[in-house]
Amino acid sequence: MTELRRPPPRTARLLAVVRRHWVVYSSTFLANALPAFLEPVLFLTAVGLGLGSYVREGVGDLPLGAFMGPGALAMTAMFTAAFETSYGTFVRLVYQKTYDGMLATPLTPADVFLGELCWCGLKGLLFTSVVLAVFSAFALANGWTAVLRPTALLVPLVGFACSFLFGALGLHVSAVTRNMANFNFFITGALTPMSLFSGMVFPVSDLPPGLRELAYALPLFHVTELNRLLLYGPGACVDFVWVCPLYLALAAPLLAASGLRAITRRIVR
Amino acid sequence: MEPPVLSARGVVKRYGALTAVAGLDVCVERGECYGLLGPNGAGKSTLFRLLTGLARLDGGELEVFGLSVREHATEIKARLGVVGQEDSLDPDLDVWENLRTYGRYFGLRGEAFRARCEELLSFLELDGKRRAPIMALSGGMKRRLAIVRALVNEPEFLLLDEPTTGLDPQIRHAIWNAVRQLKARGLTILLTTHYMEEAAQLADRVGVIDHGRLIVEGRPADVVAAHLPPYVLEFSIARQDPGGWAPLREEALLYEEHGDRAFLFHEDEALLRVWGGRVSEATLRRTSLEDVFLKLTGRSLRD
Repeated sequence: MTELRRPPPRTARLLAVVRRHWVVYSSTFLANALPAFLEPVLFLTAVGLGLGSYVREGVGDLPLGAFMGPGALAMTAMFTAAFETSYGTFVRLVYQKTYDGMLATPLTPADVFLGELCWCGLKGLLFTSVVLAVFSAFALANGWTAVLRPTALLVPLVGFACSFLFGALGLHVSAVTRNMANFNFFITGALTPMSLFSGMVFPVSDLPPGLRELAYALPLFHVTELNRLLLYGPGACVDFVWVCPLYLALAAPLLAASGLRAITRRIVR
Repeated sequence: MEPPVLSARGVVKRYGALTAVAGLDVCVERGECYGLLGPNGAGKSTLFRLLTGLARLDGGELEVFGLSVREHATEIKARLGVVGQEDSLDPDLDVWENLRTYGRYFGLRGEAFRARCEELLSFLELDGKRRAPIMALSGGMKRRLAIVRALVNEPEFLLLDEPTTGLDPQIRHAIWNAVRQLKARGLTILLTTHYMEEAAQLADRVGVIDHGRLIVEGRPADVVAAHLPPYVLEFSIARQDPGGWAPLREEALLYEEHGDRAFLFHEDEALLRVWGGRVSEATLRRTSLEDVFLKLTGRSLRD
């Protein structure tokens, strides 16, 4: 009797899923990556330099453009992941039936969607790296390099965590969405406002009480603040910046677990 | 003793108030091709979903290779080939990358795997299509590629869910031919179909399910023989002289009416030939699986 075929180990299954997304992604690399990376560059140019030239005092010791860097990096990682697991996941689920094919193999729903979140994280890491490089050139050109810390090199890791977390949030939305238009509530209704109130353009501490505490609860605030810590050191951050890594370390796995449960309930009935 | 490849005992699956599978008992032995027949909504697709872990079992026991689908879905799926009703090919990847990516899900890669993919592509006559995007394939090519994909892991058990629905006769025959060759190599196959001819051509045994339950099972010829006389005279009611054929209804061993068509069943072929002379435009033929299917599952439309 020939040896029975055994399913590959969990890590190999996750890697196979990540690889699937990478192959799809890299085949349309320019169309996927260029707008995603141009957006923060244009944003920094228009708001940072354009508006920044009117706001001469800057924020604390930083010119406005430099202050906005951490938030722009966070926003990039957030949107790339949120689009992937909202529109992307929905199209694969409802229109392309991609998951029907994948789930007929040894892959479990947990493999498929944890793999998808790992892919989100990887994409966040790549995007953050590119935007970080652009931002550094930007900083060099404007003479801000003196304030940059070497820990800035760790920012792409925060990008991974950020994308993993927002990918997990997107899975929750995809799990309940019947109509693709409803993703507008998620992207335009929730994430875009979040990016305005998470300490990107002005410090959250300037918000009126009540609104300020609300902003402290938002995940994007913690990502932004952690990026700021790594870029400029603790002096540029809120007093409780140590809470930020703790927040992300707790929120990301919890949201991932409930996101996997939610999307699995939609598929396995 | 080796367990059957598929064993369903009292399988129950409910969706809210709807009971899709209501105590199904089916057994598929190694090396056989089992044809599952039933009208739309009879529970065939639900059984497939249960087998691939896309639906949770509500009652009974469902085992593949002697392993319960409740705890061993991943182990089972490693040894299973699945061709779904919808092709579910990955439209974001080309033909070759579909196979490579699918292989990775089984932990397969390397030169031997490559060679196997090449061999399977030529087996289903898709050699020239390696770099074609999925969207550029015709329906028949997609279905053949779905079969190739289901075979990359050298499965012991192949699930075919309506493999030729919506395809032209050439493709249908090509697929039948492929299935026959796979069967000859000893592959165990579970096939669902709406085409009785397909079941009669391919299946060693057929089971008819309706309302989530198995109502008849056996070799195709035996199933026909057990339920209907061997010959049938078929004609249009509207084209007959009213009253001219009415007495035949009483004399036939079995009389059935589907819309405008009348069916007179009898074991005596010569007698039916004589009757055929008394009605116009009648067809005399052997009874088929389709006659049995219609008799057992009724004529009302299901959806």
